[in-house]
Amino acid sequence: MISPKTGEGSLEPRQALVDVRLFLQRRSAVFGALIMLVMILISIFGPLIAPFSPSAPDYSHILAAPSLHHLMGTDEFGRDILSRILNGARLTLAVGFIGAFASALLGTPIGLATAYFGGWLDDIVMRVVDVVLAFPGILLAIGVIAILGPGLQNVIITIIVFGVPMFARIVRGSALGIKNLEYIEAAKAGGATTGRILFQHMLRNLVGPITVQLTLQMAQAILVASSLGFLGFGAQPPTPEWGAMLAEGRMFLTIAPWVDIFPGVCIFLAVLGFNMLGDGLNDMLDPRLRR
Amino acid sequence: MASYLVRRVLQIIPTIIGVSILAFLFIHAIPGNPAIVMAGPNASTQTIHNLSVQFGLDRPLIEQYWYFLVNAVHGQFGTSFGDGQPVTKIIGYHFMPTVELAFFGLGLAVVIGVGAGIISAVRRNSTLDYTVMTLSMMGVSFPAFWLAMMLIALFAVRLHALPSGGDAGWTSFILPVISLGTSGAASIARFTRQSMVTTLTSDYVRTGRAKGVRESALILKHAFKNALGPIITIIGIQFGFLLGGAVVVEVVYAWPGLGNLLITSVESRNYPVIQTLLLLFSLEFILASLLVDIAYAIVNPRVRYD
Amino acid sequence: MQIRRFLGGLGGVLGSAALLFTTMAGGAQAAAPTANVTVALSGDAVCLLPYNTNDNLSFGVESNIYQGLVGYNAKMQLVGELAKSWTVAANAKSITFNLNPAARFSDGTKVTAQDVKESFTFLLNPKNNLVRTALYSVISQINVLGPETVQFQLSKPFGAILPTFAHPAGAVVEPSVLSKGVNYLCANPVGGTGPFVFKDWVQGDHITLVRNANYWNPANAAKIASITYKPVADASARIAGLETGQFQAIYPVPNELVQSLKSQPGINVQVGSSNAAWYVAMNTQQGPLKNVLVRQALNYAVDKATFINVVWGGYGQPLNSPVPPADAYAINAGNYNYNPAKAKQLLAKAGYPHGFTTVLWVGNSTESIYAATFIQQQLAQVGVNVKVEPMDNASLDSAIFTPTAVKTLRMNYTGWSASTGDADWALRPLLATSSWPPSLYNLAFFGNKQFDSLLQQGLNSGAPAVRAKAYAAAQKLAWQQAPWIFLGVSDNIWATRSNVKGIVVREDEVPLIYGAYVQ
Repeated sequence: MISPKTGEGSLEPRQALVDVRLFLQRRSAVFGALIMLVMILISIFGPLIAPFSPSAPDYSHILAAPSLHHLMGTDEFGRDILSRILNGARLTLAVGFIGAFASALLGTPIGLATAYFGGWLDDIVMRVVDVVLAFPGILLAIGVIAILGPGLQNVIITIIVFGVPMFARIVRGSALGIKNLEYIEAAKAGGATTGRILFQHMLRNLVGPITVQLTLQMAQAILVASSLGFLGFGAQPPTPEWGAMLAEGRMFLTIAPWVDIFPGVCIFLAVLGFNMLGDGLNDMLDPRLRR
Repeated sequence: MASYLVRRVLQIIPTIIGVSILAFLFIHAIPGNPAIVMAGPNASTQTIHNLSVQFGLDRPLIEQYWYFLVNAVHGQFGTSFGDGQPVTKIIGYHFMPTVELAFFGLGLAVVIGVGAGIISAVRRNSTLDYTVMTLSMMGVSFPAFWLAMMLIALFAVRLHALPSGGDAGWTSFILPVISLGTSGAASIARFTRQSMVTTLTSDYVRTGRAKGVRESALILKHAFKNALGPIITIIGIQFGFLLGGAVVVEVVYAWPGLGNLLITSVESRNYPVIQTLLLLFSLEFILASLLVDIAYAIVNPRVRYD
Repeated sequence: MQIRRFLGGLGGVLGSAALLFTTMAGGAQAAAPTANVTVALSGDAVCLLPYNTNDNLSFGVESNIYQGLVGYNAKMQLVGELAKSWTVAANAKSITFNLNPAARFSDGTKVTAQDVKESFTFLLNPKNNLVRTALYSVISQINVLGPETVQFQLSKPFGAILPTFAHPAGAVVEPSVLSKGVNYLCANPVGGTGPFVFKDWVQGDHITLVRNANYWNPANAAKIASITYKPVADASARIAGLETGQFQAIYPVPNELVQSLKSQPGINVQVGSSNAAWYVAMNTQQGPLKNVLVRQALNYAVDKATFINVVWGGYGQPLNSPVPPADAYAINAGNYNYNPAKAKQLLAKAGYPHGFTTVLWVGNSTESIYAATFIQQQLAQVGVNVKVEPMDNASLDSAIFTPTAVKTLRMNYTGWSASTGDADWALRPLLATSSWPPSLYNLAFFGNKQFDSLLQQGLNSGAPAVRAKAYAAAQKLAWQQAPWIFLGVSDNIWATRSNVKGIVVREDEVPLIYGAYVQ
């Protein structure tokens, strides 16, 4: 088994990757999975169960405190905050999923290739990765958005710009650990093509670390997206994206804090859920941490 | 050791050059003409053109980049668009507030993170451990700006206990440092625990315990010292994140630092300032990585021979 | 209980005694004021040379240091500053000023007509790349008629010349400092005649001005020792600083925070009207907006009163003309009362019974986005689908001030305050055909020959009656043609500590501190 964090370990061709009992033992992992499930459900059914339209203004009830009528209060236009949150969930999740998956899809082959072939390919690619990752994340994000313009699509692109080098580096690290192992040598000696070696043999054994990184990247993606939304670079009004809701509500923080509290709590829970899930998966897959 | 140092430093140079090129391209790819911003409303096209020429904006990009590079090597970073002050002077005004914030933020993160991590590792699988680790998990999940806003709403507005802005002496530091250091503390705590657990359960420590070495000495001197490697690494990574997180925290707390300067410079397309700032941030990050590598090499001599 | 009351009483006695002693001590020391007033504004100044200034914040700082031949007092009335009298020629092609013989620069030297000539010559010189050269470009020649008499000849009739000299950019700068160059003067505003002189400016941190010991006009000499300006972008931080006494005055105060601020003891919140008109400019050359019926329909579709109540928290006045009521020659040009049914009728009549889709460009401040979202909601009710596109200032400027803007711009939410306080400057840059971007701000690309000629009539004469008639007709025409959705006139809101008086934000949104005193 390969340790996702350090890439060390030995390779066994057949391994039960999923030890569900162990997973269920860790309460936090279960909690994380539950949150993810709830978020997916809200993304699908949220708009259906929302009590009000997310964009319908009600000028005589602006900035109303939470009440039975409006469980999370209303915003500066009298729009029901709960309804906006229910409608915005799918946007937040979409950014997280798409951003992280696309990063994995593009970064994994790069990491595999540079680890396997080494040499000048490795040097150049890793230099580029270093350069991109030398920019503190938020600065890179601001730069990309400043060029492309605001909007959720460009936020996803920004996440990919940062996520691909991350994945490449991590996959490379893990792949380096297994590159020279007996199993791979045997496959090479048996005449397997490079492609087969890379994608069938090596990849199969890296599913663990990649999955863990995927969930962590999703959490990261949601954080970055909401930060960009807060700075005004993300989704534009009247989109009920949670980060954008925080940006809009910031000027009312002192007189109507619920406009900021609820979207923030939701972002927090989503990120927490993915982090817990990733952590749980990590522990489950890494025998060295069993104690 | 010396050759390792030299090698690492040399490895940095192409990265720095790469960063400067990237920064330059970025800035010029951003739509918006600084000459128009500087000229302001009601300026004639002639004024806009003259400003363009004055700041070399009409020259080919390669030429502009070359001048920037040559000047940078000589320590000249140009003059700020709009008010004509030297970029170094402007950055100088904003430098210390950010350094202070990052220093205290990192300090808080390290002290709380390492301390909590050690305690958690020593008392592993207890309720205390579980609580600390859950809190850490939450700590990394807060969006920094939201945490900042909530702290302001509670302490500054509701309780009137702490200032929400940059200027009231040492009390102004409290909320921003907490906002900034929380996720760092949480990350460091988790890594510290993991690393400490590995060393605490290692044969070396178990042998020491069997031989009767005092528990506190075991923990602090032996286990901790050997756990330092990953801990130092994560501290270094956190420093990098801190620089980025500082931007958002500075905006929320109206902190007069480099992060705020970056945002306002991007708004006004102040190319020389943006460029120098990006270079500065990246340099800090790279240097932090270098320091981490060196510290790691001191602690773990095997690394030097790769 | 009793101990507490006793201590309270003791504290009261001691406190009153202390107050008594300090007042006596303060009264015993006489003239030179010692108070410093710290003002927190929303940002830092950009450049402190009036000739190169575009923003009201910098103008506010400059108003303490520099004076013009004429100027606007706190009530936006045109008064003499360095000039004690003036004559505008009947053909509006020249203006002559008689200087006040008492006028002095801050170093004590007398202000002469030659100084005025050299100062304005510097302003008019295109090689200096000053942003305000264009405002005074109608001046063709400056003649010194006597030691205290200076005449400006204009290249064409320009009835608005007097208000142009009252504009904050029309300052007189001591010629001997002009040789130091624009960059130096931007950061070191010296050579003025005002009640304060420049002490220092640490970019992004503070600007300090001190009382001008050589000030020439005892009638409005400084009543405080110094002014410190601090840039505080965050409104809550400004308010917090005012509450703790760190700041003595702050501007602006966002309207949603006025209520809670008013309830604080020791703080005085003031609201004044402004001459800032807020509107949505509609590109009259493109698509459905070409049709005047459509533009009128959109005016009926927006509930202006609710706009002021919701978006501005009630702090604003209706706008019944392109010229706000505070400007000279403004009239009430009409009414587009909220009537969505009528709006739909007009749209159907114009051929858009199912509405249409369009784009609204707006700045990316939270206030602008708030307003734009409201407009979007209102127009949605009559079937007009508006996509809001917020842009930061630089992108917005670049998108507007380019020759292709006439094709790409549809609607833009923006405001305008005429710093000359005159109908000409409220209309010409915004609605004259010669003001299409990129040259000026006619974002509606309004091109009406009759309107242009009315504006010209207003400029051709210096006689108020003639100008009033021309501008009244121009306003009625512009109102009926509806190149804008007319929204409202914003209020200025500022706050001071209760014991600090004499601070006013003038109608043109320039904060005036020079009259401040501490009780």
